[in-house]
Amino acid sequence: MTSNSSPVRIALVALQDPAQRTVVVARLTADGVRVAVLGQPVDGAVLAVDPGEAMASVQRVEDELGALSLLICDAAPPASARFVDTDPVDWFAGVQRSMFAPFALIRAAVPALRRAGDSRILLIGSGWGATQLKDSTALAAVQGGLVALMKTLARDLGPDGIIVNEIALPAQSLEQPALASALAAAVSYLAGPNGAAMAGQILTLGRGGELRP
Amino acid sequence: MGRVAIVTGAASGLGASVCQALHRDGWTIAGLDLRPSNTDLSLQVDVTDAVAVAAAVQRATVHLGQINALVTVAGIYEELPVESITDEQWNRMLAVNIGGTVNACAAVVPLLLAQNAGTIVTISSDLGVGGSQGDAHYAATKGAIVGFSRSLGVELMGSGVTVNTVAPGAADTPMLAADSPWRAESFLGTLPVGRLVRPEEIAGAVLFLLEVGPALVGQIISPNAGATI
Repeated sequence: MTSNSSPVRIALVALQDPAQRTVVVARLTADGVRVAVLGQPVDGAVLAVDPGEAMASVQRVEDELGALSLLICDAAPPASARFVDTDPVDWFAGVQRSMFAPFALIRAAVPALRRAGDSRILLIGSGWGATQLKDSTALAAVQGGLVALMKTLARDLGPDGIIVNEIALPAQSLEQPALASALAAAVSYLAGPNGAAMAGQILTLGRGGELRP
Repeated sequence: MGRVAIVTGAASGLGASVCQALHRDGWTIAGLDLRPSNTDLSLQVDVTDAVAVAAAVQRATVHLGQINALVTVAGIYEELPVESITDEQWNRMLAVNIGGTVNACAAVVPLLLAQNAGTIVTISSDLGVGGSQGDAHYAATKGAIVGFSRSLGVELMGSGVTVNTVAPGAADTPMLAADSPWRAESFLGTLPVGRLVRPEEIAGAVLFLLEVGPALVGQIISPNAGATI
């Protein structure tokens, strides 16, 4: 749980799923964090910035709210289809588009997060769980890429005081109320002082099953 | 004609080692690479070009007959801090490493499905499983290969076509620059095996996966000198 002593005071939340966005913003706000969202305004968020050029989005958050110390982002899911029915050019374009957005946002935010010190990046994804889903080679590739990106960034940025982790959700997302509560708690934990020893980890929510291995 | 394999990135480094190992094991090989490869059928092609890859695979079937296996080795490597990676470098890394893998699979999978048999081995990296330092775009593409391969393995399960992955640790290949930190004694000393992985050891893992058949699906084998345990 964050508190006034928490290093995380200003957050940028860039999540595709409205339910996830709402849950995360509500919890961060309750924890005393001032939250900007990328895209549509959300109750509790003090700023909504256009999801245009990543550098400009981060700059606006810093200009209007102050030092950015938490970035929460994800990747839009690419189209689902049987691989044997998919044009590889379309397949690759979808994967490239999905992976580029979080990369660009993180790249833009790192200087601000480094300046803030004791800051966090949280990726929200499905981890390796996507590999268990039907007709999801593109999604699994994106999510596998995010896992490796997250772990690499954790090693790269940890010495600079930027802690990077991932929260992995099952495919049904937040249809289960218990899962929404778990997501809120996980964000609060990883963004707060108690999460300072976690780096490069996947915190998997749900009961297992499709999330294996 | 005996068993026929298509190997991408066949001209040098790990790809060439895989070709040598397959050759010794009696395989006939079509090598896809930008440069000529020392294989039974050398096909010069850019793996990022899906149409060209499909045409090359078609040529391989005309010249060598039924394809039994695909090994996707083609890849590039680059060390850069995340803030220094340009859009072009990010997109190029994705296009070659994951795009090239997918283009080869898209061309070969229908052939294997039509004969209800075949083996695909993709090459990822230990860094795609555990991350690294200074390799964000490379690691992301190798993680993507793991996710893709596991998912494709599941999709093709029961068809007679298997998909598995070799995720090697730092290997003594030309991909690793002479002054790479992965060659430094300070890194090698942290490895239980105490040295870089030899290309022939990675090729051995590929051979194992080609031999083992349908008992393994969506698995990752990591000859990594103990770097990630």
